[in-house]
Amino acid sequence: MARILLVEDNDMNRDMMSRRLQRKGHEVLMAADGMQAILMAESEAPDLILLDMSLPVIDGWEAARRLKGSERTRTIPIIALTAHAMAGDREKALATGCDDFDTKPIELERLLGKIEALLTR
Amino acid sequence: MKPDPASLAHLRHELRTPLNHVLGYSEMLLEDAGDASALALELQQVHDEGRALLAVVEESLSPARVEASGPDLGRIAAALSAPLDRLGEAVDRLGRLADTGCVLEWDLFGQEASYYRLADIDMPNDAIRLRAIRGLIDHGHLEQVLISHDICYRSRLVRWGGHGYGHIFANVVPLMRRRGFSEREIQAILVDNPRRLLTIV
Repeated sequence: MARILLVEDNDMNRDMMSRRLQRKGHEVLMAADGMQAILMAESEAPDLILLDMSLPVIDGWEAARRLKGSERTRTIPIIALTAHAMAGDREKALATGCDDFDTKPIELERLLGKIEALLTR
Repeated sequence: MKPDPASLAHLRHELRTPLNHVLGYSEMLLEDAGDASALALELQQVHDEGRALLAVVEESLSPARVEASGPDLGRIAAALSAPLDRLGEAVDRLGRLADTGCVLEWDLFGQEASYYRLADIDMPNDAIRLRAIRGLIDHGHLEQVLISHDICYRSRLVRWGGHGYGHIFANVVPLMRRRGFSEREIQAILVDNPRRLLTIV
């Protein structure tokens, strides 16, 4: 099981997602904005980051760019999450450096499959 | 009228985010409920309705549809209006009261019955009380909220099968957290407001 950094500014999303991931055996670290995500990624070295793209302070797009641009965090897989679910979001996320993309509402089994794929590649 | 892409993305985000809560929590609770239990059937209904609303949002606000003919806001409004109206009426009523500056106290936490003998009003349970309080907080009235429970009968003590003096801390606070109350809001309701309103000097 993995150490996952869940970056989500919505309290209820954070609560619900963290509990569902913990039930699947994952250790969940949490951050509520992009800057906090960068600092925690550097200090905690999680196995994977679930990154909401609509975040305060620094949004998910910029946070992903910085994480993938840093020597210390560039190898950590990032799955971008967004409730916008607009055409082009996936391509934009991958171009930013994210390793995969998913939309909210979350389909847990699909997301777990993506986490598994990134952790075992 | 066609919204610009940023407005459309924002609208989709604002509608899909609460559906993420509905679907995620109901799926999580379904994992715990027995397949044939009454609770599971009700949870499945919540989940199905959430899925149906998501389908309406997806279809009515799909970028392709919006590009072709504009958003179908009428269909979204029709699908969402009934449950939102019911919630909105209660929140508005309390909001108007709070706007006058008075403090609102929810008593009887721990009373989960929907019927209260000889009462003129429908008795809320703890979840409904918290939903109303959430609405008031969202309207800027956090500092006007108090809660309490009423241990006036022996039967309300734990040893006699009641919820007991510890109910708010043991059960209501976790329920608040599960329902998205922040630690600052819980601190205000349980500590700061009573201290400010009930200290007599």
